[in-house]
Amino acid sequence: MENIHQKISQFLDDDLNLEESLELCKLIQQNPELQQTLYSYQTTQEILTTKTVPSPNPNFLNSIQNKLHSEVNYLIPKTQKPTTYKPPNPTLITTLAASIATLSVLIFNHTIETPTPIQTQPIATLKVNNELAQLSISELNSKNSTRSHTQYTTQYFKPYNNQYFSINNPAAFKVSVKKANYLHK
Amino acid sequence: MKQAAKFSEQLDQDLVARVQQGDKAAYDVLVIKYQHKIINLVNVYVKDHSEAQDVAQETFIKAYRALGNFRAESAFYTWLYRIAVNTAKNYLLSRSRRNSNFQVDINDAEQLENNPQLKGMDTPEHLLMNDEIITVINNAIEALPEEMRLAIQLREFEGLSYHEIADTMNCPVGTVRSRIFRAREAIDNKLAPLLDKR
Repeated sequence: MENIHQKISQFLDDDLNLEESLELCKLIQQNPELQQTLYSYQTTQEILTTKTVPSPNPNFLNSIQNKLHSEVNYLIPKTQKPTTYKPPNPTLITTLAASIATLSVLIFNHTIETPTPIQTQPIATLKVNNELAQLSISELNSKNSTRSHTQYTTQYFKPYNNQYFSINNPAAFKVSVKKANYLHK
Repeated sequence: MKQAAKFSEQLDQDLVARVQQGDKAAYDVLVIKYQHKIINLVNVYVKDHSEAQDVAQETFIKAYRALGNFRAESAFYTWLYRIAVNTAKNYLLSRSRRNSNFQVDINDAEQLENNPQLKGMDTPEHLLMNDEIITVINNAIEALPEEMRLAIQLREFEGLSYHEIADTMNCPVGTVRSRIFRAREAIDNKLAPLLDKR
C-alpha cells in the first residue's frame, strides 16, 4: 500500500506516465482509503501553492461520471459542417467556374501537345521501284450530305525505300495507287 | 517553460488524445488531477462551497463535451480554466436573475481571485477550520527533517521537477521521489484528523 501512496505522490507531481496514471486512478476509484490519501496530498499541495483550502465532495468524480455516462458521441471530433442549407456564395461559384475552365484548357492543351499515337496497319502494298506514283484515298460512309465521300489525292511522290503505305481504319477508306508512268500513259 | 510544467502538459495532451479516442478513464484522470484547482477557482466566484461543487462539475462536463474540438493550441489546463471562469460567470448571472435581491459584481470576483486573503469566504466555522488546516500543514513542514523540507518546498513553492530537484540537492531522482513522498506522509498524518472532522 505504501508503494501506491508513493505513486499517488508521483502522480500529483506528473512523474507517472500515461499508462501508470490510468492504472493508479483506476485503483484510487476502487479504494476509499486511497481516495482519502489523494485528497490529503492534494489539499496539502493546494494550500502550499494557493494558500486556500479546497473542499471537493468525495463523490465529485462519481457525479461527473454519472452525468457523462451516455455522452460518448460528444467525443467525436466535429470536423463535418452542419447539414443546414446555406445559400451558395456567388464569389465561390465564380471562383469554382474559373478553376474548372482553366483546368479544361490545360487538359485540352495537354491533349493536343501529346496526341495518342495512331495505330496503323497496311492496307495496300505496292513496290514502285522509286518511280513516281499517285495515292488516292476516298473516305467511305461519309455522313456529310453535301459530299458522298471525301477524296484525298496526294501529289506525285516517291515512296521511301519502297516501303508500305499505311492508313488508319482501312474499312472506311478506298485506296488506289497508280504509278506515275502509268498515269502518264 | 519549466520542466515540470512541460511534463504536466505532455501528460495532459496524451490523456486528451485518449479521451478523444473514446477512453473515458483518461478523462477521470484529468478530473482527479484538476478537481481541487477548479473547485478553488470557481469558489472565488461563487463563494459557496456547495454551489462551487456544482459549477465545477458543470465545468468538467462542458469540457468533456467540447473536448472533441480541443486542438491543443493551448495547454489543457488553460483551456479548462477559461471554461471554469465562463461557467462561473454564467452561473452568477443566472443566479442574479433568479434572485433579484442578490447582487453580484463579476469584477469583484475577478479581483478576489488574485487576493488569497479574501478567497474561500464562508461561514466563520469554515474559516476557522481552514485557518487550522493551514497552521497544521505549516507546522508539519517545519517539523520535517531538512532534506525532506527542502525537497517538498522546491517542489511546491518553486515548482521544480524531480530531475531539477535532484540536480539542486545533488542526489538521485529516486531519493527525491522518496523524500517528497515521506514529507507528504508526515503532513498527512497531522492533517488526517482535521480532514475527518470536515
